[in-house]
Amino acid sequence: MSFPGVLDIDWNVMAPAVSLLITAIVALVFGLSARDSRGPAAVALIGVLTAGIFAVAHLFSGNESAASFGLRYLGDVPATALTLVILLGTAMAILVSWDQLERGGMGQPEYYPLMLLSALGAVVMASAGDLITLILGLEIMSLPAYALSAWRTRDRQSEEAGMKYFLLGAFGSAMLIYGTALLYGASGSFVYGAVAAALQGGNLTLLATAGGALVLAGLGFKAALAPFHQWAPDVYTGAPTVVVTFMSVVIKVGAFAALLRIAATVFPALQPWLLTALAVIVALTLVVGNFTALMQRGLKRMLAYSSVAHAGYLGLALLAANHGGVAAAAFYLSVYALMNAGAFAVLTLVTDASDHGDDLERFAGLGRTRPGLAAAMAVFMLSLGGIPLLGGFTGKVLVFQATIDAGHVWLAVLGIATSVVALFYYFRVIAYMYFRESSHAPHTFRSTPARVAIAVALVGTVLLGILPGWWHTLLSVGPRFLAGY
Amino acid sequence: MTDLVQWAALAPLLALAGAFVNGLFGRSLKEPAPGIVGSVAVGAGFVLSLIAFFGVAGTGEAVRVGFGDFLTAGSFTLALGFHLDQLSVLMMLIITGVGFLIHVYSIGYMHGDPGYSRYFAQLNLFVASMLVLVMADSFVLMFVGWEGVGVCSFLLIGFWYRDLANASAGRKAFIVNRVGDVGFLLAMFLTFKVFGSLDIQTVSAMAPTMLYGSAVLTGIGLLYLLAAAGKSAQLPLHVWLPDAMAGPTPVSALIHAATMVTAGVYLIARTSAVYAVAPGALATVAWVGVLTALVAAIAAVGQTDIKRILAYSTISQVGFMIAAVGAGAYWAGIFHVLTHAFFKALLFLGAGSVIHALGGEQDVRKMGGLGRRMKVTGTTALIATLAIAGVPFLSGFFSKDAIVVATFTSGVLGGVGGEVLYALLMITAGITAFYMFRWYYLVFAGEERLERAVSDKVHESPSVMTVPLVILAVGSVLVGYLGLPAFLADNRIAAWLGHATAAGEFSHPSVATEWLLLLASVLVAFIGLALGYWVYVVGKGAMARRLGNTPLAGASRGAFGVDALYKALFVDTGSGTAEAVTLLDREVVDRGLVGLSGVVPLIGGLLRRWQSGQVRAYAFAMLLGAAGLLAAVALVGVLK
Repeated sequence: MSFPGVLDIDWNVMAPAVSLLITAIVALVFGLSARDSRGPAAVALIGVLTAGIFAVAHLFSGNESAASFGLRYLGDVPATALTLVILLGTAMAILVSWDQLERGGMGQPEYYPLMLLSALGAVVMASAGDLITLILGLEIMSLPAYALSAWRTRDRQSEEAGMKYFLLGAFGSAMLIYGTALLYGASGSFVYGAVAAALQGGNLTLLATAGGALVLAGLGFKAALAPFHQWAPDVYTGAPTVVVTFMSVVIKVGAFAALLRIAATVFPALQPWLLTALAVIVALTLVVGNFTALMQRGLKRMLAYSSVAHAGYLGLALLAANHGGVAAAAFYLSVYALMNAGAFAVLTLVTDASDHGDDLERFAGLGRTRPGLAAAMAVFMLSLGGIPLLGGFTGKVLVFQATIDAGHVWLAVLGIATSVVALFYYFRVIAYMYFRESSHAPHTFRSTPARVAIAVALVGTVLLGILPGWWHTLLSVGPRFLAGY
Repeated sequence: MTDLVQWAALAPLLALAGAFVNGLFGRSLKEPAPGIVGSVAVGAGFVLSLIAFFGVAGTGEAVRVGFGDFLTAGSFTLALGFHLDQLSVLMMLIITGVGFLIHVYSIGYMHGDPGYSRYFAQLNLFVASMLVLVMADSFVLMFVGWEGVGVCSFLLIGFWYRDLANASAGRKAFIVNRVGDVGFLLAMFLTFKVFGSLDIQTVSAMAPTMLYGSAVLTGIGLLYLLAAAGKSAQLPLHVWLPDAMAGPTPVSALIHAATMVTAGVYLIARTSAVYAVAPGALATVAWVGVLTALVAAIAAVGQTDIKRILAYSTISQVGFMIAAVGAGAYWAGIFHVLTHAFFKALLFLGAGSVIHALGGEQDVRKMGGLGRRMKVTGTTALIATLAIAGVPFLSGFFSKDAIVVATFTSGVLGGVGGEVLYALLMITAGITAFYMFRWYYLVFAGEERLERAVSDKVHESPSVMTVPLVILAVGSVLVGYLGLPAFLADNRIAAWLGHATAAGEFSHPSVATEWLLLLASVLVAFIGLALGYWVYVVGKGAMARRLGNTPLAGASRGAFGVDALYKALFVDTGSGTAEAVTLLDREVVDRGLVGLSGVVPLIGGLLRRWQSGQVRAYAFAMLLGAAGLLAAVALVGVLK
């Protein structure tokens, strides 16, 4: 059991991240001379596709124990698969932004480079094998996201969203870093595997557990777990919808990718009550997310709380990280990225250029005025609600199964019960689209790239619903998740 | 060749594609277009089935087409795939071949109907489901097809749903079928428990190693029989089929005569390996088939609706097939499926042609003499009538004779009344000839009893309808020669299906006895026809009226009162219970829930108030959360 050298670099593992970095720089330089933001968008899309090709190639190369920087940057199946999900979410966000930026007067060319950098941060978080890499990834991901939240300059709500996100984000980062320091103090190492090994049989677990608790709080902020979730509804409401499309998917995947790995490696070495505390957090998240979503009239805010609720379901998987929870969460994240980005994409086409007008009333009669759009939205809502034959259902089943296997039966029951509540607010959207007469002028904004994004999301959501086997099998790698340490 | 056979997997997809095109874009297509799309989709399926047929014939090997694993749960893996062997390929040929002809016929028959494209969408969907049913390599996939045909049957029976009677007929068919479906599900559960697999070939391979005649195997066999009874309208679940005639006549021909109702026969033939080790279940199958055949044949005599006569006749004929598989003569059952598909589809399409010509009239008492004015329809209907009556040298004779002889010589039925079954089937065959003579005579021969307004409009149907009639008539004559009695010539169909089904045990009587049995069959057919001639032609209407006053005739008209019995037993108790539950639901559950629902917004409102919009409040909440976690650390530390 020897450490590979710190400077060992496997470029196959690094390729997706490096492609994103290079593309971000190219897009930034290209943006200087571009007439509008569509050129950089195209560059960014190419970069994301290139990164995706590298990731797919690595995923199927079978070289699962590959890593760089001595287990500090991992290329195992969960890392690569979640990288793919991040890239998918980014590509969808680019497609959704394509026409919307110009429409909303937000066409500054720096938008796409920032988005790519944020995605790069998420990829680093998903691949992180030690706490320092994790913090680096988190900051690379967060800083551009703060700027993007305030992208609609001269709009108070958007500025407020950016500011809130930044202040609270700093708070969250501080907790994470403090927790990291405590963990290092207790174990003398940053690398997950080494931390876990050093704590075995030691007498410093109390200190380490306090560190673990703070790491949980810090990452829980990014993942929007209650009580660290309150930024999410405000920021989602204030930030441009196109940015929320990105954030709600990519940042959530990044945060959960990191949490999953820590939950699978470090947490078992800590005192078991931390998992009890996590269980309480998850239960709180499920209740808060679902019940508050029920009260929302604005669809954007409803989706914000729904994303908190989904963080709760993913939290269930964290508790069962070593009982198939990792594969379940990775599957859930894949579906979530598709259906959530799809729902936001539809939202951008229905609301005004200023992102206002997301009230449920706006969706009344959409089934008649825009039947295709309404049908797609209906599928996303049904999938988010967990209706069988759609990906959301399969994801929930996998998560609940893992939760029960891990012995948290009451949490699974709570999860199922809150899913029933969730059905109400998802179905309400469908009811408005199909059973209410429209009182608004028909929605005229059309965007082919956004339509492509919706189509991709639709196909993916349905495909993962009827043929979930192949992707779940690919994700089910079990102990190899520990990165061969 | 194997590669070519695999293309047959496209057949259900083609039909499905046809259903999609007609279902989604059919409204914008001009009239014959949906019919042509539907017909081409099924016709192409027929070509693929033919290729598969020759492929399987060439190598004699079954071909499996896999689509990967559908789901994996623990040690259980369910692979999706089609199993193309002699049995399934033959069924495919029947489904797509007869199906194609009926699609073409429908182009003319449904002319001008406002639901034209919907009709073809549903008919295509039916063909797709039926193909999945027979091609499936696992019980689960078979069940998908099984339910699919059930849904299509429901949709097409209630095709003219604006008429309440049609809609309730569809509902009745669906509900009665559900009883059988429960049997299928339970059978699957039990199969999985016993065999640990739902793959049909695996189960078939394991079956001979199981304890012969054990209770659990008998249970599986009886549950599959229940499923078959539902789909194939056998006692006691036969009540839905006569009502199913509410659908368009080509639907009755395809679904309720040629294909779907034979699914039960197919199911038992497909699971023949299980039945081979469950002789008790097999004998029950035979008894159910024979009794159904007899009861339905008697009921057919008393009906006056041109299609209801044929419906009871179908129940009776499927009873023959079930009796055949129950005797262990799986090949004979499937052989009768094949011949019956031709002559019964022909009879129904002929009836449809008549109804079409008479502008919707279905009462045989108001017909007569039509054979003189509708030459093609009349001639082809005569051929079909003779075929089903069992007149020698036509297809129905050979297949029915094979069944009757099988009950006589079956080793399985040896101790449980094989001779009685033989006698009952012979009587049934006689009655069949009698009521079919009555049907033909009342519709096509004798004096005209048409209403004047109708009489003037009578015309032969267009060639798009008559050509399929002629093709089916040719088939009704010829397909019988595939299964000549073994002591006379090679029995091709028995040899063909022997590869795919278990072999029953039969005694081999002397050639003289065989001849005797054959002659008895011939004799019975002619006695039936002669009786018909005597009652209806010689005795004119008088004798028929006299006979109509006997108690047996009353029972026949009312189909033995089974429907009334079911209404009293199930429908009335059911609606009584439903009303009681409604009361309970409205007064107790609803009121309780309405009270409870006030609580949900309360929680939501409280939680929403927590969301103040102030950054300092949010930061404080985070602080509290982190502090709470750390306080827990400290607390645990102190407690230690």
